[in-house]
Amino acid sequence: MIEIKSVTKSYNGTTNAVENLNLTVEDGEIVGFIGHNGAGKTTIMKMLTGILKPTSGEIFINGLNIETQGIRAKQEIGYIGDSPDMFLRLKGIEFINFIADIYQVPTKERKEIITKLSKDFGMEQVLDQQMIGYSHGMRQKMMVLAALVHNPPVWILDEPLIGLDPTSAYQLKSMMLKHKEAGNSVLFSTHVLEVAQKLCDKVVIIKKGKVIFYGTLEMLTEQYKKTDLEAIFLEMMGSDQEEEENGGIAL
Amino acid sequence: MKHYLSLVKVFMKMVSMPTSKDKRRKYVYGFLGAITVIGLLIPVTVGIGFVVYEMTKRLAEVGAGTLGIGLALFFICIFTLIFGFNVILNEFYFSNDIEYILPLPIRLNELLAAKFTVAFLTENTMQILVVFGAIIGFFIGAKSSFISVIYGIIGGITLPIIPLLYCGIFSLILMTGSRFLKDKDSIHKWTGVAVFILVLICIGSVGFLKGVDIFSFAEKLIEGRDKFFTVLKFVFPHVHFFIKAMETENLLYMLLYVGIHVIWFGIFLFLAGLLYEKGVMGLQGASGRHRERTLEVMLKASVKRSQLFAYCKKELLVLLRTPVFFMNCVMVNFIWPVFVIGMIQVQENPLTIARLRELYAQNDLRVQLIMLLMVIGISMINAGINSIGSNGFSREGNHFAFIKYIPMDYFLQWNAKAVVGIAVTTVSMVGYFIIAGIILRISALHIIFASILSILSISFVTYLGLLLDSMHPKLVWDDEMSVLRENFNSFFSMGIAMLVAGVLCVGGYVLFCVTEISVKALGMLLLIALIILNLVVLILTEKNGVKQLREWEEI
Repeated sequence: MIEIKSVTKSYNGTTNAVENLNLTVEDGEIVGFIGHNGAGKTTIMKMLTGILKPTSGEIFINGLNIETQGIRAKQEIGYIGDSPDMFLRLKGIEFINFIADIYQVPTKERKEIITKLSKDFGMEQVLDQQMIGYSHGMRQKMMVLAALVHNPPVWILDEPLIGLDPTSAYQLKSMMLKHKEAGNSVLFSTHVLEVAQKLCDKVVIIKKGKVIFYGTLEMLTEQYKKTDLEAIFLEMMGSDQEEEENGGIAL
Repeated sequence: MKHYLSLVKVFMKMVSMPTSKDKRRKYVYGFLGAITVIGLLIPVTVGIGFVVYEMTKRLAEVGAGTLGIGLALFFICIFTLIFGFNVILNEFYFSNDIEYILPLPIRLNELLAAKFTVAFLTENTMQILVVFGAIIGFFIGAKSSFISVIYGIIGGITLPIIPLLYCGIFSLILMTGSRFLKDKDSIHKWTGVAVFILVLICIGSVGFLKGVDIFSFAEKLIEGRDKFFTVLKFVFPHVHFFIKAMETENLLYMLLYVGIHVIWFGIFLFLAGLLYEKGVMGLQGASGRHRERTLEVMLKASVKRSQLFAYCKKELLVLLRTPVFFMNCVMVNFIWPVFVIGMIQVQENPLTIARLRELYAQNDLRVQLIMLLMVIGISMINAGINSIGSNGFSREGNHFAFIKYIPMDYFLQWNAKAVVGIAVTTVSMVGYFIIAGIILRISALHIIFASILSILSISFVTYLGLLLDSMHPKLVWDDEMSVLRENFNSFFSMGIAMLVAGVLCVGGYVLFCVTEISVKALGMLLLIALIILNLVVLILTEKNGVKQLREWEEI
């Protein structure tokens, strides 16, 4: 479970990147983050994982405070960041083992997980290569493998489907659903509304660091009296003029 | 040239190190900068200036007053030529921005002119300072006039341009003509080897100078009989014209100096337009070597290890497998004896191994003292130069956030980085001490004591480097080379290491001379001093460093 309580993040003391955010992702739930580029999605995810410190407010991961019980809270998280270009001089297998060691995954368990995940994502043939020779999509798959190698109960995924081929994207989406069914939580950001529609139990729509909607898709369609999520999103985000000012919407 | 200025502006922003928003860090950083200037830049500049001043004053009597400045400036040109090549090659062919810029409607010679300008502006601070040291030494020695000073300022700033243009032209030709060098890793590896060989040749050349009578050398120069100088004049004609302009105050020589620059820059621009596209097309990023093992075989080695072990292994693999880090952070540790031997050989009466062995066997206190101080001095300077500590966090680059989201204590991560830095440096240092110990028949106890002093010296500089880097890591970089060359932390760490080494060595020497303290007692005092320094830096790491790391948000 992820609990965000009255979290505000300000970078310069005057402008808030995230303002008074209250949110709970229950166990057995997939929640999608939707918003403009620069709306504050990545900032929130970075606060959830301990990369950034909230200016005020508290964050709990499975009841553990990310600030005061950082190490234990981080152990609960599987995180995929916004860039897969990490430790490219390591071989795929070395990278996964390194991450498994950081999360102290027992030998037997890691062997099973690596075998399963690498086969699911079609990576077993390239694990012996340095990641610098991987394509962007392959690197992204490695990030997925590494994030899940310790079988974390809470998944925090920043645009995880970017760069994945259709098969791998399908695999990851299936895994997200299975993870939820096993009673765990998934929070992910996406610009693809269809993905949110298919996967999410709830969506969070963010605009300029503020939550403008949090609830189920049914609630959203009911509130706006429309079934087309794209049309609702555009309406919520305001006029075309405003969109241009904000750098446009990536759909 | 309509895009030239905009490109220079953008590139400069990319290579510059942003200043911290935190006021306290800004002040500390400024203070460290001042220490580096005092510890590194001023001694080097003043030293060169003094040598040139002495040579100018003395050789003026035999009509060769410009020999000192000539040698200094030629040396700086050779230095720029050797070390500038990698920089230029990297800037022209391997920076990440190339793939975004090439599709833009920008003329290639305009692009390379901008890249050349940025390389010149960012890479030559040290050289320019040394040039000014030499020029000031010359002014004082030759009692120059105002016009000479003006010429000196112009020449002082622009002197490294010609050797860098040579690097640019050579890289254009090399990259066009060679298919074999289309792989980024191969290029870094081979240029590193080439630089090492050139440095060896330079040290060898300096060795030839020993025993040369400077007055008869000056005489040969005046008569134009010295081949070495004649070749240098031919390769770097601008140095000749620059010195002539300062010596005679004749505007014509200054115009010739400017003219040579215009001609070489024209040739460079012409070749850039002609050759750059051919060279840059088809370049491959590093591909990484691999074996074909089955998953089952790979998994056999997948055994649970401690966090510290895993982190150290990761750090070590990054250092060993990234050619730029391997050459500059690892290999550099193994070449220092070459410099030491070179320095000994250029002495008037160099110490032979047999003589050293004899003196040590005779319990010669001076030899023991020098050995003791050299162990500390070389260990500290070496740990500063390899910059494994001072770019420890900068090396993480755009995935610095990784440090923050993994469930591993910051201090433990810090120690893992330090352990690798200390281990890599120690392997070479202690290895050489053992070899030297066997050759010179030094007692095992002394070798062990020297190794302890060395490890403590390395540890202090490595932790200090990490501390500096945690304050202001350079996380935005285009390629690995930028981590090293655009990172002030490495520079500061080197300066502080040299200053501390200087204080300990000079202090130890003075104490020995003044108080007649025994070498053993001095050794113990230095050991205590190093332990205290290590404790201080460890306390600072735990109290301030880790906090800085935790609070670093410019990710």
